[in-house]
Formats: sequence, C-alpha cells, structure tokens
Amino acid sequence: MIDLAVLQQGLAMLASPWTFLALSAGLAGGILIGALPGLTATMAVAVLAPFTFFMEATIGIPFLLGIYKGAIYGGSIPAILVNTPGTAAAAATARDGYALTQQGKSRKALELSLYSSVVADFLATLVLIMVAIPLASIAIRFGSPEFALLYLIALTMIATVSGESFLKGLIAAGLGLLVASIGLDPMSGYQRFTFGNTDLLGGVSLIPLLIGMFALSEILMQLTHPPERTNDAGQAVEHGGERLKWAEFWALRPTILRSTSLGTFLGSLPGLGAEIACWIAYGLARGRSREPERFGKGSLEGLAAAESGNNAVVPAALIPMTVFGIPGDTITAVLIGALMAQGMMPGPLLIQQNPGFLFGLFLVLLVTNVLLLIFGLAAIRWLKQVTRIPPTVLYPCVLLLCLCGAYAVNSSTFDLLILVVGGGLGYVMRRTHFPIAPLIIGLLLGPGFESAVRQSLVFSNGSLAIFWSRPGSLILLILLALVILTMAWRGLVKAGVIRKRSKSHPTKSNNI
Amino acid sequence: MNTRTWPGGRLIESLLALAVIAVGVMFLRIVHGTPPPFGDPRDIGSAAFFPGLIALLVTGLGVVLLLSAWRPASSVAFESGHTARALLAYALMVAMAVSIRFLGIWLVTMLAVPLLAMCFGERRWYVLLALAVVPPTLVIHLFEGVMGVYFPRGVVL
Repeated sequence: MIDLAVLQQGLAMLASPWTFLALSAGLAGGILIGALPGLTATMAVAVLAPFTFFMEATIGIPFLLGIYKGAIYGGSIPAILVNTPGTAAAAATARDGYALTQQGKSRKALELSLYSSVVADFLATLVLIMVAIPLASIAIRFGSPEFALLYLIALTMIATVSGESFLKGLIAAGLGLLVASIGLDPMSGYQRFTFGNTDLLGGVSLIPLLIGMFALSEILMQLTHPPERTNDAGQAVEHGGERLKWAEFWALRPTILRSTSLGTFLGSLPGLGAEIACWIAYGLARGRSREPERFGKGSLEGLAAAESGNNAVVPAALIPMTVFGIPGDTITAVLIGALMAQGMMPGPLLIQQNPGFLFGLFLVLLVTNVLLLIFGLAAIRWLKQVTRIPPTVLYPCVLLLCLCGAYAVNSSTFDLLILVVGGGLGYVMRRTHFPIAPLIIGLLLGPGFESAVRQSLVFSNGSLAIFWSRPGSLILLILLALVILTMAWRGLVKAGVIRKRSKSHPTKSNNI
Repeated sequence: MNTRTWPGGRLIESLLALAVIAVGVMFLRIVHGTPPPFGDPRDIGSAAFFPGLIALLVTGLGVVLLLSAWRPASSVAFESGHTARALLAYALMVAMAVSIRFLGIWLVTMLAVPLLAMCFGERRWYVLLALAVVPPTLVIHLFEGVMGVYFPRGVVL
C-alpha cells in the first residue's frame, strides 16, 4: 500500500522549481562534460559533488544524477563526430558512429544515439522502480551475518571484474578496507591508526580522496599519455546529412530492448559499469545480427546496441545502492558519499526513513529522460565546438575545481593533503594496472562490513556457523561460492588451462 | 598512444608488491604492538580484530603478488610515457596543497593554474595570463560568494 504522504512528498520534490533547475543544470553540465574528451563521468560527479553539500538533498542529489546521466550520454557526441569517445562508456559508440559520420550521416547517428539512450534509460528506470522497493523489503529483514556476506560478495565481484588481475583487485579492496579502519572504531570508540592526528579522528575524508583518485590522477594520466589526435579527427568531415527515419528506429527495437535488458542486468551487479556494458551489448548485437559484417562500418544496430547498453547501466547501478547501500559502480560510490554527507544512509534504511525522498528521486529519474531528449537535441546542434577546447585550458581549470571542491568539504587544509595523496595513489594504481574501484568501494563499505562481521561474531560467541545457520545467510553463502567459482573459471580460461570458444570483442579498460 | 612497454615492469611490480607488504606489516605491527584493550587482534570485541584480519590478508596477497611477478610465465608490462612531466605536475600539486595555508588561495591558484598549463605545453603568454586571472577569479568568487566557503588568505593578503 502506497502511503499518501510519501506520494505527496515525492511529488513536491518533483514540482519544486529548484529541483527542476538543479536537474536541468546537472544534465546540461553533464552533457557538456561528457562531450569533452578526457573528462570522465566519475571525475565530473566527484569534482562537482562538493557543490551539493550546500544544497538540500532534494536539490543536490538530482543535480548529481543529472550530471551522471548527461555525461554518459554526452560521451557519445565526440565519439560520433570526431572518433574520440568523451567517456570510456562511449568507446563502442565510436566504431559505428564515426563510420556513419564519415558517410555524411552524422545527424542520423547522433539522433539514433540520443533516442536509444533515452529509451534504454527510461526502461531501466522502470525496472529500478519495480525492483527496488520489493528488494528493499527483503533487505530490511537482513541481520548482521547477511549484510557481512552481502558486502563480501560485492567486494569479491568488484575485485574480480574491475581490472585485469583478480589478485590486484583483491589487494586494492583490502587496502580500501584498511584505509576505512582509520579513525574511531565504530563499536568501541578507540582511536585507530590516527598517529595522534586529530584530523584523522573522523577517518579519511571520502570526497577529497575520491576527487584526488579520479580527477587528479586523470590529469596526471593525460600528461603521461597525451591523446594523439587522429589525422581525420575534426577535419573536413561534413556534419549533418539526413535525419533518422521512424521506420529505421522502429526496426531496431529488438536490438535496443536486448541491449537495455543486458545493460540493466550488468548495471545492477556491483562493479560492472557502463564502459563494460557497452562492449558486451555491442558484441551480443553483432552475434545476433543478420548483417554482422556491417558492424564497425556504420551499422545502425551496432550504434543502437552500444548506446542503449551503456545508458541502461545508469538507473540499474542505483539498484544495489538504494536497496543494499552497495555502489553499483564508481559513480554511485561518489553518489553514496554525497548522500552520506547529506546525513542519509543509502540502503534499506533510506527506504525506511526517507521513503518520500526516494520516491521523489524515482520520479526525477523518469523526468530526466524527457529533459535528456530536449537537451540532447540541443547538444546535437550546438556541441560540435566543445570538443575543440584544448587540454592546456581544460585541465588547469579542472585542477582549480579539485582544489576548491576538496577544501569546501570541511574547510580544512588537511583535506588538500588527502586530495594530493589520493591523486598520487590513483596515478600509481592506474599506471600499474591496479583497479581503483575496489579500493574506493572497500573504503565505502569498510565501516558497514566491519560492524556486520564483528556483530555477527559477538552474537555467535566467535562461531563462524552463524554465516550458514540462518536461511538468508545460507543463500548468500551459496551465492558467494558461485561468485568465487565463476571467478576461478574465468581465471582458468584466461590462463589457458580451459579452452573456451568465444568471439573476441575489443575491450577497453581505464582501470577505474 | 605513443607508449611502449618498459622492460623494468617486473621490477616495478616487485616494488609495488613490497610496498603492499610494507603497508600490511605496518598495520599488523600497530594492531599487535598496542596493548589491550585496543591491541588484541584475537579478541572479536577488540578494535584491532578487523584491521588485524585485513592487514594479514593484504600482507599475504602482497607476498603472492611478489612471487607471481617473478614467475617464468609472468607477462608484466609497464607502459612508459611522459612520466617526468607527470611527476613535475604532481610536485606542483603537492606544493600547492602544502603552501595554501601560507601563501593563500589567490597566489597559489594564480601560480598553479598557468604552471599546469605550461606542463601541458602551453607557451603563449596571453593564454597563461588569462588562465592566471580568469578561472581563479570566477571559481573563488563562486565558492565564497555563492556557497559561503572562505579560503585561507595566507600571509600575503
């Protein structure tokens, strides 16, 4: 039974002009940032998160969601126009999108990319709304052992899928958990690993660390490996051409629906972001296509699959966040940080304590699709010039925003040290192919994981049987075993011990 | 991308593994070296229990990483690039973070922004001048005027 007060609160949030304004600004800014090659969606959300601390949650969180959605879509614009994906999630889009541009059909490619994105986002949002509440009602009944196992599953999955090496993923997750243990012990209140520094009593500041690891490290990576402009990028390719016909779009509905389902499923799993979903959706579409030879040469199917695959991830990644408090990807990790700064704890408690806010958020997500359509059409027309902003101007401005944003969190110069330490650590990790996501997610889940493990063991007087003696925890333990078995299978296939017939799909990982 | 694989990848991997082991051992030393009630990692109720467990895991994984780097079949690759330029920029970032308390936000940002642009290869004086003035003025006023966040002024202002 839906509570009328909840409905009223949600509708009031949606009707607020400030929420609408923040959402619009976030979406427009997100498209702009996504369209700038080198600025990732995670970086955008991390750098702009401190702005939301000075807003109400009903304004600040829609602003960040707008940036998230806008940036994922915006990445497709330079991918199609100049063969340079604005974000890693648009890498698959560039293959057929740019081929269409070379054939003088850039307008058709941009329109298809927008419509596929909007449809996928809308459908995935509906799935989020339908799945989140029932799942949360189950999650509310979870006790400490179930949560401990759930966190362990999430960390194992993230360590497995977010990088090239499971070992490095596991080490990163372990380091994240260690960093999370700095500060006051959540149960006894003792100081841990603070070295007498009062700035560390509350733990390592999350947002400055996130900004450092994602934004500063990106600046350093751009300096290390400056992107080479392709000879044909931005040159005499004619922009425009014919529009997308309704019949063409309608014929693509099986591809869009399939890729949306896949993106929604992958997005709801912790650790699998849009940059992986786009390639898997693209590969699946090629496998099911009647014209697989056209893929990479301007196939509308390929473009629609990549775009619907990556955009479906956005609402789906909010499922584990809203239901269990587990980030679906690095961007939702930043969103969790922003929610925590607003005094909200994502997970079943959020649904219990702030149902009106959550309902409002779902409505906002639906409305975002309409706005995305409007802003997207405007972006197709006006954003061609943005891709030409030189890095010599762009990255110094990003550095300035990082500095001010990190300081603004607590008005503390100590946070600036965390910022640069995070930047250095992120840079070293990316250079040496250590995935950053497990460290961040370990850091976020650390306090909850520790409390759940210790409480479980205290209840059971130190007996591990508590993790399999309850029905819920037994199911989760089996799930954990399945995750580990899958991981082991992957490792054996990768090592060549087990041979598997598979179509190779080009993958691109930025170790985030 | 103008990168090539650097032959010292195995050495770097080993150094990383040693760093991971060092972090693990440092945490282990603290949890075991501190007297109870904090430092009793075998007691479930102790604040040292969970970090002790994780530190042990991290140390063990660091050892595995070290051993795996020196396996005969190991293919450790390290892409070389303009590392010196990145290190220079990182030194600039560290200097910026450390000196902001003494030099103040205006001086630090008006120096750091164009200096980073120079690291990216910008040499035109008017662009550098514009970068030194326009973005800091806009961003600092946005934070101070709209959001009410006041930055350190330093000894200069």
